[in-house]
Amino acid sequence: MVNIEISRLFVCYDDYPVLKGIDLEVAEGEFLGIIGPNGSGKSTLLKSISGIFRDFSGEIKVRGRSIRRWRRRQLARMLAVVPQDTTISFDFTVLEVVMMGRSPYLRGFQAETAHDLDVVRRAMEFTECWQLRDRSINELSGGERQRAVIARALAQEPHILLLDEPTTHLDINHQVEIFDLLASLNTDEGMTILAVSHDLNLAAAYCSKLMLLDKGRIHSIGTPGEILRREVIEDVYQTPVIIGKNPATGSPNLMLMPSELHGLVQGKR
Amino acid sequence: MSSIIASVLAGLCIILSTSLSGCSKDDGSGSSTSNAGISLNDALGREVLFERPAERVVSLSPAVTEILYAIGAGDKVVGVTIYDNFPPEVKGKEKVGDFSNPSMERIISLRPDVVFISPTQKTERLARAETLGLKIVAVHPVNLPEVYEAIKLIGKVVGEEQRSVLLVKKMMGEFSQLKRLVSQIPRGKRRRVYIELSQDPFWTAGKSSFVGQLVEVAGGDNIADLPLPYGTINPEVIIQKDPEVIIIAHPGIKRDEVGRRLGWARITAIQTGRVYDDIDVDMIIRYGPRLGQGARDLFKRFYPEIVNPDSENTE
Amino acid sequence: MIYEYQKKFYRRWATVNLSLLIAVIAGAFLALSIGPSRTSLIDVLGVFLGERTTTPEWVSNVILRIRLPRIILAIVAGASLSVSGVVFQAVLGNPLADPYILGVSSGAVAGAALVTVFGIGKGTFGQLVIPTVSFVGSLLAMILVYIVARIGGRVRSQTLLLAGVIVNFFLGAVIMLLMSISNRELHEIVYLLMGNLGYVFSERTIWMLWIAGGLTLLGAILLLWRSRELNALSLGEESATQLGIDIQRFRLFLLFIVSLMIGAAVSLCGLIGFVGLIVPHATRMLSGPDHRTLIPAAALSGAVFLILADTLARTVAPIEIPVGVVTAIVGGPFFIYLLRTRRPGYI
Repeated sequence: MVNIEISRLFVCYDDYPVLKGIDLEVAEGEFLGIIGPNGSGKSTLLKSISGIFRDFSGEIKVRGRSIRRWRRRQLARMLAVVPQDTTISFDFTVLEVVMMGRSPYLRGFQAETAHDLDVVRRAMEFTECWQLRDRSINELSGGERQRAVIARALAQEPHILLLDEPTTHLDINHQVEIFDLLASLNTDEGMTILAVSHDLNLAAAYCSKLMLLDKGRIHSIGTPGEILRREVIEDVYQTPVIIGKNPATGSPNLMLMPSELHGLVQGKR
Repeated sequence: MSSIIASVLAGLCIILSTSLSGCSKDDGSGSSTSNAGISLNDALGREVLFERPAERVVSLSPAVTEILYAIGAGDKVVGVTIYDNFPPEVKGKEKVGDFSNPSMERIISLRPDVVFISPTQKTERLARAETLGLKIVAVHPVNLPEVYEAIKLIGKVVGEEQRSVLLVKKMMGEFSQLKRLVSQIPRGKRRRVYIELSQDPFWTAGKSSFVGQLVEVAGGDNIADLPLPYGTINPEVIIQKDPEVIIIAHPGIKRDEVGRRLGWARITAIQTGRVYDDIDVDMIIRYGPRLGQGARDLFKRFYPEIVNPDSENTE
Repeated sequence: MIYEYQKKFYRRWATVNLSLLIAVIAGAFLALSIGPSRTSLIDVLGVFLGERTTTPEWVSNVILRIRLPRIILAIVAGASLSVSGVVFQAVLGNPLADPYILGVSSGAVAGAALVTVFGIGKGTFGQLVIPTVSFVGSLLAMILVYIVARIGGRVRSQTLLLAGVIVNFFLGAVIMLLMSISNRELHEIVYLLMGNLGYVFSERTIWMLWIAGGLTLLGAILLLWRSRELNALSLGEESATQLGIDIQRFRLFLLFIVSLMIGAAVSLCGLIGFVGLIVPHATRMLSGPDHRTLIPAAALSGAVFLILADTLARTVAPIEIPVGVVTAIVGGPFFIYLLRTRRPGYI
């Protein structure tokens, strides 16, 4: 089953084209990593899919229905987003924040039911932040807060999860933690996941498929092995790299080098 | 926003001080005449010197204008404010603006020997005009004795000192006539009076202002006990003091609206229909020659049952 | 489990709101018994228990017809200004937002001043014009601030405060213009600018108080109905959108309600500053940021705050001082304190 279907997607910011014709299909249960340099349009693509930008031309279908025709509340039950910026100006407790994930299911003056709390609790246990429930969201470390925001997204009981740079600003242990979490959601729950990532190695290690964006277009799409090749990366990022193999997982692994060694590598080719 | 409020307060001050005063307690008007010329201290405490009596006068206060006319210097007036309306002849005079923002250009073009002002927070600007060769005299009496002094001072400036003394005597005579009538009324029987100068909030005159003193001269027992010459009064104090006469000295409302104010219905003045909105406000809030008439008008409203003081008057 | 969770929520809700309600009642009784004319709490009880034989008539007149309407106005204005502050802070995602600082109250004053100067606000029908135009004025000011402050879909404190300064300046100029062309109406505008709860009601105008009160209550209930969405909105626009809220429509709804509340209050009591800033902030310390608790709590504590501030304004000096002065004296330093102690993420 096709979960997301994008055809001829164009997005402009004040006459400046950001996405120039994206065609993409994401099947159910896929774990798609979206990579690409800064300004390649990764976040914009994600925001278009999640319905935050409606000012685009082309078509985006979620579960066969155009994104423009989804009612917000209905869409929020189908698709959840973990935004890049998770700062919150008010001292909500972690439980309160995660409980907001139930908003698409609750009406004004309606109290949460046992089911709502149950969903929230499972989401929080899954992301290991149930023990943090009474703490203020602003007291948490970056990794803890990211887990709480993911729990909020999970409380929406979505079929599709979109994440925008979920591991920036995090230490490596937390980066791995977050991606482990996503991987188990993908394999155990069958959730379709689209994650924008800066970290090519992490994306390659976890995602079933990678999509490389460059200047608003899809440069290439395929398995991590197909995308993380030297000529592809060097073409897009304009910097020499060495591609090795992660000895543990066997996934491709990208290594960088200081500029003065560039000539050396060129010579080796 | 604060600057707005500041200028607004200034504006309020101006309104109330044009004829009422209230911003400055300083009067200190005093003068001396010698062969060398006229030297006087104005309400801002400045010494102003005149070599000879002023022939061309700009008055930025309707009260001063009335005084000038009353002492026979009306033809010396060359410029007045847009609010001047008495005596009727003043209508023909050149208008130089309002109290706070007169047109300096127009004043200068009138080549006055003296400009009478009411000191306000914008006085500095006017004082600066002195460098342009204008003579400024600030007039700002708060109580009746200061009113008399101010009248004499104005007379001195325009060379009508004797007539100004006569005017003061006439006014004092009018007041003492009233006082004689009032003295026959025992203290305990004097009417309790509330005099309202504006509403939202309620402004009234205290006992240290000439308006308050006018009420007293007219035999009224002013219910307001203010620490300042003029100020706000809480409606609950008005209800507690239960005035027998209410004088509405502003054009904002009519008498029947006063009775409809919440909580006012049981006030004696309202119960007995003794609310007056028909007084000529200019006669009591301008420190001019008509204060005596204003006091008599008040008296008539306080004690309609007593002989009309006008009939005894030789005027 | 759910039982425990809900019990916790309701317990907090009830504790916070009931104690604030008691504070409102206690404050009202205190304010009823204090004033420049000497009366006591016993007089107040006497008036309410119907033992009017023991209290002089003027006392019951003062308490019921002078002080009571004034206290009701304090409750209405306090509640509407403080709830408006809460909504602003949620819409802009910024705890420094406040209708006074942002110039929205000035918008309402400009509207009221416009009507006053052109003399349309006379008569029973005319008196409806003032709150209506105040409402339009605050709505326009709010839209202006929002357009100026919103850059790239986010409202930052710096741009927000700057937008407030700009809008305040602009409206200040409008008000000054109106004042310069006004004559007898000048002091009515002055009255609005200074903020004062001593509005003189008459038997024919007291319904304006009931309308203002009704609008405030209605607004608060509607906001309470949408309080879960307000929670989501206070996380930021993106989060709110993806939690299923139609931001554009919801924001319009909120701005409409808040303009209505501010217009109703400001046309009666003028510019009372900082209530929308201090009160929501202090209330959050009690109730937490959850709008389901915060909205009624902010309404009640706004009422208490303004009752007390006005009692001070009425009694502290031999001459009454405008209540706006009292709230500004408390609010100015508090604002600076907030500005200097907020975590970097907030500002």
